[in-house]
Parts: sequence; C-alpha cells; structure tokens
Amino acid sequence: MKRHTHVLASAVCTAALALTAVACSASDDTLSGGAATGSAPKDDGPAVDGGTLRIGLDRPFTKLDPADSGLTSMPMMILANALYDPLMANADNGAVQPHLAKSFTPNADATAWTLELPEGVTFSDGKPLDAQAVVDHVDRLARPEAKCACAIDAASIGAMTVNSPTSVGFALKAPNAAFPNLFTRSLGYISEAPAGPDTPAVGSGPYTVESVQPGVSATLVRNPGYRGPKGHADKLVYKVLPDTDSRYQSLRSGDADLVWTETPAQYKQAAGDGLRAATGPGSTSTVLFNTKAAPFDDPKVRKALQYAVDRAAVERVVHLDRGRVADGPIGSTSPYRGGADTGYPAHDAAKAKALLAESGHADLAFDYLVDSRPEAQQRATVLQQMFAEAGVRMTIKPLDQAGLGTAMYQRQFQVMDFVTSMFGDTDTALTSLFLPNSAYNFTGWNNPEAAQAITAGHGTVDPAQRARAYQEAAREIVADAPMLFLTENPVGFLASAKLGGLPDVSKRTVVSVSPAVLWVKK
Amino acid sequence: MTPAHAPARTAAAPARTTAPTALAPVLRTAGRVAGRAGRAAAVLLLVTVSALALPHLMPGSPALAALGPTATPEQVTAYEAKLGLDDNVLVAAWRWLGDALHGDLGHSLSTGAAVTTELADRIPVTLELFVAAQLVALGLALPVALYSAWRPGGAVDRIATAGAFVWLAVPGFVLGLVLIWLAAVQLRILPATGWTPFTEDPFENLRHLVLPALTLGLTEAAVFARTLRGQLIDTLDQTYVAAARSRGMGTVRLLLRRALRPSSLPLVTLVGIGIGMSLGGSVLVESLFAVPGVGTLAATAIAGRDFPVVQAVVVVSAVGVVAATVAVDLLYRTVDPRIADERR
Repeated sequence: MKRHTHVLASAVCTAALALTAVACSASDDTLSGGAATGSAPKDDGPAVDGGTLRIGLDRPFTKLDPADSGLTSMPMMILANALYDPLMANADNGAVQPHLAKSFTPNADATAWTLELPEGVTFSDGKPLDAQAVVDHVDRLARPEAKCACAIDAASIGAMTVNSPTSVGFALKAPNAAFPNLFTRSLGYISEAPAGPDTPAVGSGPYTVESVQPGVSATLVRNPGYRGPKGHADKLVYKVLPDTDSRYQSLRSGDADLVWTETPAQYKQAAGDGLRAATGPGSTSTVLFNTKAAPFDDPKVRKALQYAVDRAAVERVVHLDRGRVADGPIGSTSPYRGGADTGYPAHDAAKAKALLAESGHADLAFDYLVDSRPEAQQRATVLQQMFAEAGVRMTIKPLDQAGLGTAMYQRQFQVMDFVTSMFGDTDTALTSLFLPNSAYNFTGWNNPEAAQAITAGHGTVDPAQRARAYQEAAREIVADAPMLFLTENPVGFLASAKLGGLPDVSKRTVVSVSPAVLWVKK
Repeated sequence: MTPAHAPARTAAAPARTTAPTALAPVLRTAGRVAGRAGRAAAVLLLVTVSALALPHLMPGSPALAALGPTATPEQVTAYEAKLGLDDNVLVAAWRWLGDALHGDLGHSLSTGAAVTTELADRIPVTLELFVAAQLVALGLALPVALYSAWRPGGAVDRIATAGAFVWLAVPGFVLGLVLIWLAAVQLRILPATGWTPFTEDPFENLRHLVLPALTLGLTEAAVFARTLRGQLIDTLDQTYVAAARSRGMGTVRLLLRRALRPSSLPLVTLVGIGIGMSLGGSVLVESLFAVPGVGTLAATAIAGRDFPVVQAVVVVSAVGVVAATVAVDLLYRTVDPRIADERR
C-alpha cells in the first residue's frame, strides 16, 4: 500500500513538475530514491541507527566547498549531499524536484523565477539559511576567484532580489524553463563562505565535518541541528581510493561499505562476490569531432563514421550487455524523449566507404585522443577495428585526463573520446554542447536550425512544446553528426551485503544519493 | 742526468712537507666536501630548472585547469602571469630557489594550502613506507643470499633463483593486488587499503603498513638477493676466506664476519639508488593502497596540473637522492676502508 501511494505520488508530482517545480513529497525522497518512504530494497529489514559507514571515493577532493566542481561531480555527490542540502534534486527519468527548496516557480515566459524556502532552516553552525544566504552563496560562486565551473550558470542571472526571509527572486538575462536544474549541484548546495583556504564551507546537510585531510579522507558526524530525519549512521568515513581494483577489493574485504564504480566488469563480478549494485544510466559514451578543421568540417565525413560504427557491438564488448545503445542527445529516460525516432543510422560499412569516397576522403586517417582507463582504451580499439572495415586508419593517442581536458577545451584535436554525465540533464546537455556561443561547445559545431530549436525549447514553460523543440534539435544533431553517440552506461555504487537502505536508482540519469538514508547492519 | 742541486731539494723535502702532512687529511676532506657540494648544487639547480620548465613542456594548461573552461583568454593570461609562467625559466628558477631557501615552496593551485605544509604531512608517510620496504627487502635478501652463496646450486639456491626471477617478472601493482586478495579478502587479517598515522594508533599503523611495504620490499628483495649472492660467491673464493676456514672458523661467523662486509658494497649502492627510485615506486603503490604519501600527492598534482606541488615534489625528491648519494659514498668508506686508502 505504501509503495502504491509512493508511485501515485510520484506520478502526480511528475505531472505537476511539467508546469512548475514544487515540493510534492518528503524532501529526503529524491536523494533516497524512495528509501526514506519505505521503498528501499525489501531484504534490508528495519533501518539500523548507529555505527560508522565507510565510503570509498574514486577521486580526490581538494576542498569541501561547493565551489569546487570536483566535489559536485556525480561520484562525489555522496559526500556533497552529506554536508549540503541541495535546493533541487535529480529524480527518476531526468526530473528535477525541490529538496531543500519549498518551491521554484517561473513567470509566464520563464525569465523570472521565485524560490521559496522553508522557514527555520539553519546551517550546521546555527546561522540562518534564509533568502539572503542563498543570494550570498550564488554571488560568491559567481565571482572569478571562486573558480567555480558554475559561474557560467550564475552568469545567466541578471539580478537577485530578497523578497522576504524565505523568498528569492531571480531575473534572468534570457528565458530558461529549466532554470531550477542549475540548483541541483554547486549553485544549489547553499553554504557559508569558508573561513580560510583549509576550512570547509559550512552547509545545512545531515552531517557536518569532524576532520578532513584534503585528497585523502574526511570524517563526518551527524549535524544535530538538521531539519529533516537524522542520518542512520553516527559517523561517515570517506576515504579516497583512487585505484579501481583495490577499491573493489576494499569492498570485498570489508574495509569499505560502499564504493563508486563505472567499470562494467565489476558490476558483472559483484553479484558473484556477494556484493550489491545500485546503478543508473548516468553517463553516455560519445565521440567528438572537431568540426572547425578539415576533414571533419565536412558533414559527409562525419556521417560516414556514423555509419561505420556498430553501436550494439560497442555496447556488448565494452559494457558487457549492461548498458544501452545511445541514439542521440536525448537519453532513453529523458522526459523529452517521446516516441520520436532520431533517425540515427544503422551500421553500414559499405555506406560509410561510399560516403568517404564521395567526399574525397577515401583514404581517411586521423588521431583519436583517449584517456588511459581500460574501458576507454577498449572502446578505442573496437572503434579502430570498425573504422578499419570502412577503410579508415585511426591512430589511438592516449593522454592523461588533464591533457585530454586541455585538448578538448582548446579544440586541439581531430577526434576524441568523450564520456559525460551531461546527457543526464537534457536541457543542460543541449544548451551547453550544441549552442554556438557555449564554452562547452567542444566540437565547434554551428547549426542555426538546431540552435533555434534548442533556444525555443529552453525558453518555453510548456513541456510539450519544449519536448518537440528538443526532439527537432536532436534530429538535426544526429543528421549533421558533430558527435557520435555510442552507449548509455551504467554508473553507480557497489555495496557490501552489510549495507542497508541502498536505493533503486535504475531510472536516475544523475545518480545522487544521500548517505543519511543508508545504514550498516549489525 | 740528475741536476747538481737535486740532493739539496731531496734533503729539504721533509722540512717543506711537514706542515702539508699535518693538514693534508683536512684539506683532502675539505676538497672532497667542496667538490661534492658543488656537484650536488649543480644537480639541484639542473633539477630545479627542469621542474620549473614542466608547465611549458607538459600538455595541459595549469591556468585552464585552475580557472576552468569558462575562463576568458585575458583571465588565463593574467593567471599565467600570476604563476610566473610568462617569466624566463632561469629567472623563475632563481626566484623559486630564493623563496625555497626561506621555506616558501609556494601554494597549491587546487587547495590553496602552502606546499611546505602539504609536503610536511606526506613526507613522513613515504619515509616510513620506504624504511619498512627496505627492512622487508634486506630481511629477506640477506639470509637467502648468504645461504645460496654458501651452497650455490643447492636446493635453496635453485628455489631462490627461480623465485627471484618470477618476482622480478611480476609488476608491482599485480603483486599488490595479489597480496590484497590474499591477506585482505581471503584471510581478512590485514586491511586492503587506507592508512592510520603512527601517532594515532601504532598497531593500526603497522597493519596498514604491511601490505604496501611487502609490495615494495618483495621486488627489491629479489634484486638485493641476486646481487648479494653473486658478490658473496666471489668473496668466498678469496684466499683469506679459505685461510679463515682452514683455521677452523665456523660457517656463520665466516659468512657474517669475513664475507658479508666486503660483499655489501653493491647492496649499499642499490639501497642508495632505491631512495631515488622510491618516489616512482611509491606513486604506484601509494595509489594502489591509498597511502597518503608523497606519491599520491604527486599523482594528484600531476593529474590536476598543480605545478607548484609537482615542482616541489620533484625538487625535494632530488634533494633526497643527492643526500642519499652522499650518504652512500660515506658509507662505502665504513664498509670497505680500502676505498678511502685508494683515494689518498
């Protein structure tokens, strides 16, 4: 009965969200995947309070501050959600719901938004988290010295007004019907400015910092003044375990209760090792073309490579049948998906050869930049073989993450591997990757029809109109092929059998979980 | 054709060399120290200049890494100027060395913390790991090498030889994963990853130290054992060893008192080289076992293009290598006084 109620509530909430973002359920529900209202895995038994929950992070954090984009990346949100209650949170099927916020509502043309906060919220140091605190937080992260990647999002805000202690008005420079989506991470993790470079930024989340060694570990204890249900574990110990294999073995040995992984083989192995997995389609594997330089400024060449790739084979080989074939910028669980066919071409090596000959590049050769992760190298090798069938010579050039990032941002590449969580939020993905004036338009692609459709969709509060506009843009993107879409990949957590409350995130395109809902069985 | 005044010069010689004879050892030592100090300074200067050239040589802009993709070209240029990246490398090196001599190694681009503080936290961890690894290596290599050399071709020698080759063929990270699987997953007697400082809990510190120290130490043990065994066999062929044996000296005493010391020079050299190699090895092993030492600091800094940290790690490591080389050089004289005699 409880489960049915939850499903019904979710349906009503999704319908309401089509028009506006209002709080429809317990605020913890979005970050618990329903665990907070009783739809956690049935075998877990009653929740257990107390003990220490040990979490293995896959990457180092430099500081505990929402301004640090590393802290708000998807694998690190298990830490960020403990310290900072986001104003908005990602729910199933790409929806965004209020979490700390009471509501976030637009005017008729989505150029002005009003954020309503609940009364009486405080930071963990007892200071009030009110409308002024929200304005101060956004102001701080927008400043260049904060070095927050979210500054580009904050730049879309023309003015902020404190309407009342619990109400903030945002006047935007351009219509944005998905404006609340910007408040699921850095901008939404409302915090006080850190007192110094080594000091964490104080938040209002269910836990607070006991000790921290940046890049190594952090120990958190319950925030006694937390507004919601208290976290089950007394203490959270986060350890940076950068090596994928030893992180997995730490879970098996009992040194960690929960770890993040994106390695397909580990999901397969986990069941045999008595571990549990909670994954969602949180990342998409793609290939970027530099459309500003020959030969990839020629759509026929890009289209030829689109035909040359057998995406189902890539999925089978690299993701071991645990992912999905991707067919465009609108993910399979996106609310804008609809039933429309994107027209993504099926694998046809002969057609690829013919297009290359037609474009005068029958002997095409290029460098393919890729990082050193095993699955990325495997994907590169598979693509190399597929392109070879079409008569294309691809040279794999491995780079470290920083080198790859520079090549991407400065567009110093021909073709490169690009695995991203951006497509988990269709609005963000389309406006960031495909609008010509965006800092994230790595391919340099400029298509007026697609840009017009994206801008139109972004500016309308009518969800049906927005979906139609985005679908039109998606068809343009697939047809012109500034990038290849390969697979939607499962990402998420592996947990020991001792862990309780691990939510079902299988419909989450952004896998964001609050550690407060997890417990360690005695 | 000896000149007529030659006897006078010969006769005068003792009187003229009286003072130099008294000062000679001091002057020779001073000369050696000055020579070594000069060479060490040259090496450190070269390493410093190379380290400061890193931002210009490595792909990936530190300014872009710090400011993100939204940074304007003007912001990138201003940030590079702030970092001193627009300076001549020699000028930057001179300024960096001046600051370093005042204990200022700059600030991390990612955390904003003083690099000296970060290094001060990490160096003791890596040193502890290094010492433990050397103890493992020497503790295994010495008895194996001594026994193998005493009975070359015997069962122990054959097994040790085969084992050493297998050990040497296995990459460090594979050995580490096997040890984790065995000790942490199957036997559950040691933690797989993580670190506890000695000051916090000595017992837990030891438990966390065992697997990374074994991973580093076992590979080195194979090298040490092979090198020492060969040297010992040569030494045991010497006539003075045969003489000692004929005088009835016991096996253990003979090996430890007569053969080990003169055979140890290559081992001392290897331990010295190991200090230099330890940073490279520790990057891998510390990352595998999540040990918060200089290796993981270096790996994180390189990945984030945090050049002030990378530069400091490189230069501090170079200081360690230079200091170890000098120490090994001095140890040579203690291990084998003939070296000092030969150089006189």
